[in-house]
Amino acid sequence: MRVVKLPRVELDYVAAPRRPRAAGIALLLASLICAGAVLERYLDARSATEDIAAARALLPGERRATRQRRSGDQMKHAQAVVGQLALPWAAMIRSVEKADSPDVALLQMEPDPRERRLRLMAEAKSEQAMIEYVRRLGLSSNLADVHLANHQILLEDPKRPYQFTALARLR
Amino acid sequence: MSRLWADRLVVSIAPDSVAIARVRGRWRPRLVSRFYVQSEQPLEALRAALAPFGKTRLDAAVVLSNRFVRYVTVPFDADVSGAQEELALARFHFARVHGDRAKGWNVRVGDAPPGATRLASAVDADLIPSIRAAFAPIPGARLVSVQPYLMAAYNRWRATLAKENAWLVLPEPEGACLAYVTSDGWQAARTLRGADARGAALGEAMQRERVRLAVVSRTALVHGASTLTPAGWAMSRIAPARIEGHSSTEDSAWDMALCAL
Repeated sequence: MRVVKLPRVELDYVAAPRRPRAAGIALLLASLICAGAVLERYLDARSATEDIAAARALLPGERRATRQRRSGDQMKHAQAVVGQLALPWAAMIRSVEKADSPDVALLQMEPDPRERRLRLMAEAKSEQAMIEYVRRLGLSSNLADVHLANHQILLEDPKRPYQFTALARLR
Repeated sequence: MSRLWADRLVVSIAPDSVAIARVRGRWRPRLVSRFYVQSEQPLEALRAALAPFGKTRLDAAVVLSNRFVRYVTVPFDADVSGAQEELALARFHFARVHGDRAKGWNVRVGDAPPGATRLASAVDADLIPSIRAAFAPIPGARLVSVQPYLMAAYNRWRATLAKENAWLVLPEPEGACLAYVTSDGWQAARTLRGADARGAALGEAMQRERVRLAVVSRTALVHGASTLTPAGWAMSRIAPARIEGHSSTEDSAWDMALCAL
């Protein structure tokens, strides 16, 4: 005979009733699985990078030049990283989020740290939605000189969306 | 020695006695101190017993004797939804059984799976505030729970009850509680008082409940010290919590309080 499971009874006059934790535990497990997958990909990528570096080091006649080129490349890379880190990411993202609209889908966001410019590629349901989106971007205190660089109507799409590029200068 | 958690104070309050046990440790609890007094003013006795604790950091859990609590089973009603309606339905059932005096009671309704009968409990309106007031002068004590004896014992031994398909019997000096739970919910939760709660009378009450509900099971789990042996029943004593420094067979006065661990 199968033994039934009797649930708790909660009649406490002070403590809040205990609630089922299944959802929380399921979320924790899902998070751990995702974290494990990300860690595995990171380790694979790092291993591949090391393999490439080791293989290149073995190429004849290139070792000294490789070292000099590597240090120059590394310097440029480091400078690029520093430039990226210096961007006001939080302010940029806030400005873009504030302009968000259900009629506009943001496709790409390209900041240029050297020129301190931001390029946005997006798709709008209508011309009005596109113009309104660019206007709202222009209201942001973090962006200046916001303007529509180009746009086109995607005729092959039956909904005829407006695909456009907006440019702005980072303050 | 640093302790991550405060000591626990488990208290049982009955109309004529108070039992307090201070327990340290979560994984291997051990008894630090205990106190028991018989008194017709149990809340006053509780206040006096708590005074020496002063600023000691303690988490306190109180178990209420079933003699303070009334229970009623609340059949499932598909037209009722939400906590407020469930509470109103429980109040209706208490009023049906106890009349107008049930109006001022402090009622709690337990959850149950859809379709199952719930258990509701009721205590006098001033009982919980009085217990809170007893703890108020102790700045280090945090009252974390006040629960009926039936709730504490059932939650602790529900796996055994399910496995044995058994009744739960909670005898006390001047009272007893009978309960029977199945996958369809709470089938019985009765408190008996006075002469009806002792010896042969208790055995007869158990038999009446079994027949009334047409329950086949004649197995009962009894908590605490009891010599109950009604004819035709298989009685087993539930072993209370193992606490280092405490012997349940000799010190059953603390059995009710220790259910809260």
